[in-house]
Amino acid sequence: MVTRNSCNTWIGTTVTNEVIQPAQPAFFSYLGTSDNNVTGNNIVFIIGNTTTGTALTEVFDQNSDFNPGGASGAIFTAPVTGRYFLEFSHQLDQVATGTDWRSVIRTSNRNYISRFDPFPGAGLNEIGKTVMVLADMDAADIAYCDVNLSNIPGNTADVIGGVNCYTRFSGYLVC
Amino acid sequence: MKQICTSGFRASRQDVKAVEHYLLVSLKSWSQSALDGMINKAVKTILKDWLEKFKEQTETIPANLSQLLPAIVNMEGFKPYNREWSGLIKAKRKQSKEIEVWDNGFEIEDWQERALNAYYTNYQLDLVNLMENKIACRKNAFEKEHEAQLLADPNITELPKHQDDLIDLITSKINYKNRRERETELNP
Repeated sequence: MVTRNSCNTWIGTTVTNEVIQPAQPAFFSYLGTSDNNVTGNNIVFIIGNTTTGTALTEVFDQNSDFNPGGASGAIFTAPVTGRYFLEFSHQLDQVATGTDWRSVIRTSNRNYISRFDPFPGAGLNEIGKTVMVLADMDAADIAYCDVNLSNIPGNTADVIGGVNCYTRFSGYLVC
Repeated sequence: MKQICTSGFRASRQDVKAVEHYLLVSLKSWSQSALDGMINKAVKTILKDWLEKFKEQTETIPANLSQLLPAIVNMEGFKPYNREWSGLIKAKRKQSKEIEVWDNGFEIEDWQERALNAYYTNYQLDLVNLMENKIACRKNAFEKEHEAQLLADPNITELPKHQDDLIDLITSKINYKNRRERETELNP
């Protein structure tokens, strides 16, 4: 079965019978280099914000719905009303015991928060966290991610980047 | 720079209430981010499909979008996409649309408009339709969320027939809070 118009193939099969959906909204991006000293004293750090940090590195964006960085951060815009799986993973350095650590996937309709308050770890150099959600989004709604640490005297916490995708943002249209 | 959508977009009071039940930002701010997404999609798609062909036709490749995009759109053989947003729905309304939510429209760069015109048949109409769809989706979600609550309330004997009446009923309750008010309560 092949479903296509003159420009695109939406659903196809390979000669070895794998079903492919080359135009299905799906994106993956990661932070290529660390953003250092970006939060700690109750500063909301938006991932991919090029004013306060760096743009994400885009690995793929099948339907051109993702902007990896800008003044408003790395933003996914839903091309159609539906349910989207979104994942935000991040690795931090300099997270002190007692820190209030909030990690958020923000969509137009609601926020999805993962929180440690107070963070119980002691003597840790780097620690990671993942937020995942099946989110309802209306056409043209946006999704982006941020992290906010407080109860540290200064903004000394780092968001770790690198080729091993410590900090990443991905998603796709499920149904 | 160019000012677009200057004819505005009007919504009813119930439209605004239903959307504010879910959104932290204003309707205009939501529309601005929708427009940004439209521009991003148009630019990325055009670059993905045409940049290699453009390289074959020219010696120098501008490194900024304000020059590159118009050059690609002007190149020989470029074909506009004539895309439209599909699957959008319209809001049901009982009351008139009396609130202007797009005061003064939006400002975009000339090259961004070139990209929008190359990708969409009528991007301003698309933005209107997206706004209308957003309102319809949130009104439907509001109805679904609150009808379930009313059905579980033994003191309620009759459900409002129209969405707008349901929205008025719920939002007029003394303890009702929209999303901004609920968030402020959580994080004063």
